[in-house]
Amino acid sequence: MNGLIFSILFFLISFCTYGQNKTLVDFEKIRELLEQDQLQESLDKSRKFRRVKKQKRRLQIIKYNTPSSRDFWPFFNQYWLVKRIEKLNWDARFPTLGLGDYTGRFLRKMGVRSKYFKILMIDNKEITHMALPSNGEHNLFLLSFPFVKALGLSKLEIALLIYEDYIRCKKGYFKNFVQIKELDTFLGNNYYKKKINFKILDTLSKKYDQFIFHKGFNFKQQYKVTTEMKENLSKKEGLLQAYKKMIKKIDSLVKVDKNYKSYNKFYPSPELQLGWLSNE
Amino acid sequence: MILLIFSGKAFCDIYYTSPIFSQVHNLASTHSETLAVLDCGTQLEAKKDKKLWVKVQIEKKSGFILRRLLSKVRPNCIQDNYPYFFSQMSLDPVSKYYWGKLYDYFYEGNTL
Repeated sequence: MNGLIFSILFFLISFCTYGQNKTLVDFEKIRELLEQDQLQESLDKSRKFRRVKKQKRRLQIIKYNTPSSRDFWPFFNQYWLVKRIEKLNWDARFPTLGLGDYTGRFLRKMGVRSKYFKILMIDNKEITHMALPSNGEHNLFLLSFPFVKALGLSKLEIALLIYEDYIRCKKGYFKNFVQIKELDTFLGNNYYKKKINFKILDTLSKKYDQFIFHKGFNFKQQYKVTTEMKENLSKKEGLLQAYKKMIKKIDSLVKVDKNYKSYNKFYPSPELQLGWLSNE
Repeated sequence: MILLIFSGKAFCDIYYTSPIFSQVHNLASTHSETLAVLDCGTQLEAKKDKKLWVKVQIEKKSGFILRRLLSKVRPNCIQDNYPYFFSQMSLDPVSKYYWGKLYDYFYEGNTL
């Protein structure tokens, strides 16, 4: 009986305190929270919209960039070749020599790594061989077919000539000569709402002409190239001898063939080179 | 598979031209007539895939392009990277023609 009374009392007390522990639902707060949430959402949307708009504008402006130095040199070399086709005659018919793979293997053997190169045969006796300015990764070499034919150069000798030009190119003699001050501000610049002055391409083309058709390399530069060739080739068996043989061939040709009388002006001189190569 | 063979699609491969400009010839020879000069990144459907040349469809004609000038993936083109610079240069059709020819004449290699 006592147990029953206690149970009833416990039930009544529990029932009375139940309502006191439970907090009241504050609808006002919920409304504020919901409002805040919606505001936050719309704020996020507007921020995202502004970010996308800014990004779109940035992408739009980027379209007005001029090429970076890395992209410019390979592009400009080709531009110059197209403009000088009549002088260089690179569209003449030449026999297929398959120089790409052989030269690649040779350059790798000489420790040249991660480079791309193009060789263009030209039908010109004045320009015998030349490496155009490079971006450090892409190299372009010109090679006179009449010159190769007159010397009867083997694939190895052609690769040696290309390697010699690669060293000249790496030393930056040609590139430094054609570097005009306007180029620094032109390359990698943005021309949004501005007009590009393409006169710079003509000026640069003229500098190329001046170097390739008139100036060439000086004694000091030739000495540095020849001694580096000597140092590098002497590490590989037979290559220094092959190089000397090739320079001898060039020396003999330029002394007897009037077509190549200007060779010494551009590359002074095979005779001196032989002297530098034989000095111990 | 059967459907693909019947529709002739089984033998088609998609390529993109990778040089700044490239030429499509009427024969598999760099000295043959030029049918078209294509901008870098032009999509082409290969009809026949040989060692050096790929036979492609250009509008209603079929022609040949050197395999080494094609890429299976869309290349990084200077025209796309610097559109304002390239359009403002206003290259004439003759320059584009010779630029395309230039790539036919290059011996290319690498030391990778």
